[in-house]
Amino acid sequence: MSVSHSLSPVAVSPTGAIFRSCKPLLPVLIFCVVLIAIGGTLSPVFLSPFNLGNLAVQIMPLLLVAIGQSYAVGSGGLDLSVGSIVSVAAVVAALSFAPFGVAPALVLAMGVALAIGALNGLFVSRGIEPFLVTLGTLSLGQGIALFISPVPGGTVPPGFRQIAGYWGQVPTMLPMILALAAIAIWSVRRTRTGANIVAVGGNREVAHLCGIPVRWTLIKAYLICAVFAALAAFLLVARTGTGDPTIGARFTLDSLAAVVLGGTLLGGGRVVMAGTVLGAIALGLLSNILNLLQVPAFYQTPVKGLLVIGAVLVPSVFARIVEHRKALRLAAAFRAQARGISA
Amino acid sequence: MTGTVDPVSISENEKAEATLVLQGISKRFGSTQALDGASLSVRKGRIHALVGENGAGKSTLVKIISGIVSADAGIVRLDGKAVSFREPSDASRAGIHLVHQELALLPHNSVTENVFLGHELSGPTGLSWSVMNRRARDLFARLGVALDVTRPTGELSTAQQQMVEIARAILRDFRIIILDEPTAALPPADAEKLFTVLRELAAQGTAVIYISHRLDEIRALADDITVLKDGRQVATHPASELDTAEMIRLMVGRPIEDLFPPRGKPSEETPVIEVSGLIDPPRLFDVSFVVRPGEIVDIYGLEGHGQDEILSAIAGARRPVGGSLKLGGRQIDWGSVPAMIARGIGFIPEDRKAEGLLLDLDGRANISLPILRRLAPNGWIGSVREKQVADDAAREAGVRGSLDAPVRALSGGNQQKVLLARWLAAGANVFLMNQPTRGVDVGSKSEIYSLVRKQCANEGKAAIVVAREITELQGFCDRILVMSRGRLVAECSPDDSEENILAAALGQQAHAS
Repeated sequence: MSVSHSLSPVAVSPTGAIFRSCKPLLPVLIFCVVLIAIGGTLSPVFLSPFNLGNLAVQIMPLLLVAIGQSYAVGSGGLDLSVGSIVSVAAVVAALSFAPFGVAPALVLAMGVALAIGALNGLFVSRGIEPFLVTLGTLSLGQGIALFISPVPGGTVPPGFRQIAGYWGQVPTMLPMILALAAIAIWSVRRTRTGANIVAVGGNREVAHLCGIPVRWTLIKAYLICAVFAALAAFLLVARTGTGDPTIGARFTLDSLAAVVLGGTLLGGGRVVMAGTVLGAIALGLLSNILNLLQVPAFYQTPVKGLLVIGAVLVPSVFARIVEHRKALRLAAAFRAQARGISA
Repeated sequence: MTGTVDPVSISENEKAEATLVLQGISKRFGSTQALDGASLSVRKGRIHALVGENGAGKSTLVKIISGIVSADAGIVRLDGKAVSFREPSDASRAGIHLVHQELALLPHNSVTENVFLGHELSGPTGLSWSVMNRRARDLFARLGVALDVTRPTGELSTAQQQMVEIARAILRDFRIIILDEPTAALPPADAEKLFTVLRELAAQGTAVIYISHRLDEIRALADDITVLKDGRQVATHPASELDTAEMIRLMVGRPIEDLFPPRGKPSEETPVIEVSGLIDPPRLFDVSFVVRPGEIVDIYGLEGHGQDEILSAIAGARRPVGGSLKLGGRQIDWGSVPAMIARGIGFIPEDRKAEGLLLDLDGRANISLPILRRLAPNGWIGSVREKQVADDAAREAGVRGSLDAPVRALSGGNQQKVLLARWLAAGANVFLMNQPTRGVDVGSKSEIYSLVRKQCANEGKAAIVVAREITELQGFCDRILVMSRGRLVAECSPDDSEENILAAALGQQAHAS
């Protein structure tokens, strides 16, 4: 516990580095393990292949949105409009399948999502509060979605619906989603864009002085966020077979919850992408278990809220207690030594 | 850009040799003329110190050199060619790097990430951190600094963070490195290490521009010294031809006879503060001392050896594990800021911008902040009384500048005086001051010293000061308590030599750990 505060030699340990990079993951990992243990104990069907497949399907859209959200949060802001982007992209895709065909419909929907992302990025990069900008595009996107299709509608071709199918019990898209998650985790430290987003989120001024293109980096962060939201929308359209103009609403706060649970700092400067993935999984597990236990929907929301607060609070309280204990122990040892010397 | 006539002419010979030449640089911010035809010529392989009071234009000048602000008038020549930087990245491409006063580092990122920030190395699988870690480790080894390069930079000491900034500059092979008050927060031993590195850089042909308020260190380090005053260059001399007294005379335009006010007489009255057995591992172990009315006591230690924690414990900002505290003979519980303020403790933290002031509020609001309850018993603030109390305190503290403007606009010295005014208004009888003159110009320093001394001598108040500059605390304090590794290891008189005080602070460290 030597506190080295000068330019004196320090031990350099590679294990220390590995431990440090895993440390922010620990709370969410424990949360997931606890949830799985509870689910496995309380519900006989929880660990059945059918339920696990179902669980994966439930988690995948949130996982994608939360990954996108991590870039926005990592850049020092947040994207409140992700839910609306999901809704708009879903509606645009569902209504364009019949007139234009699958590929053009997806391109069009992605284009609309990117347009909203670009709007977010442009305003944020000009120094407007991300909260305000994305609150605005939240309403804008939701309005457009409802304007295009006030009620769930559109026709989804069976070919496209197949992507929401299964190979046995394994959802068809699972490998693809896992690959995307792996790329996202890799991107944070291994690509210049990822490193730049973290730098800009940490301190815009520092990033600027180090020659990082701050504005373009911010625009990229919100564009990436929109891309992931659109991908989530495609999954949802394939699964539900319709374009629902309100389907995205719940993702806004859930994605932020997943990001924060995962250890990424709100306010930027630290992105724990693997934590986001685990955070989304934890939220999915939680809903799934509450459903299996037949907790009325009425109680599910507050229970979820309390558990999420707990999951963030417990590790920090725990860390504080550990630190205090350590101080007390050191104080006792010091006093005992002092008595020994004086005796 | 159009050049105005440069007031101090540079010989043709000197021009030929110079790497960087600035002529007739002017810059105005609003109503302030920060630079008024300033000139500077820096040669490669030399350490060039820029000195001057706060507001003399040093920081603005280096910001122009490094492309952060652009000049209204004047010419910047690099190797004889006129250049104009619009962006920091332009200057950086030309080989100029500014090490900022407020370090430009990302606290959550590792040392390596900070060193390579914006210039990461790529490999076949994306950015190759193992290669960058290795390069960073080699670099720090060359600098003689042992550092775990994978640690988050925020966990490092200020000295280490400074080295990270300098490593960044060396790595990218800059030709001109500018340091703006690098040692303001450094203990002397680490400052010495920094100087070694700078001398080595200069020996390899780098031009170093060095800003500092510490004149003794400039005399030891610099090859050339330029004195700025009121936005103009008043003199440039080789360091060997300029003594400290002359430097001060050039900076302030008049000689300062006594920077420090005379000391007080020791008193035998009941101590205003009595700390005994203060323990808070791992930072503090069994610290006991008393401070009597009229005394100014300094706690000296290398950075991170517990002196900061003593102040924050007495201020109520930190609840220690054990120990007792008596204020004016009465036992007080630790750990409550309001209780301490009510007992007359006034805490001036180390980082006035982050912990001391609300930068966007005006001077009055900053002064009345801790006593709003008293000034606004009904909950309405902005009363005539608040204005009067704040104005009186500001006058007593000698604040110059508008109290209606955000304190952000005030100079460092005046900001520090606003903090002093805050505790004068609150009727504090013990001032806890952490680095009260950090980044403050010579004139204001002297005013702050005499104000605190006057309060202590005439009104029986007392002050506990944490300062890093031994010569400063020798002049200012009555007693010096030396900390090492969380323990009080010595009590020195201000007449003890600098070497003895430093040895006491270092002594324990040598055979511990």
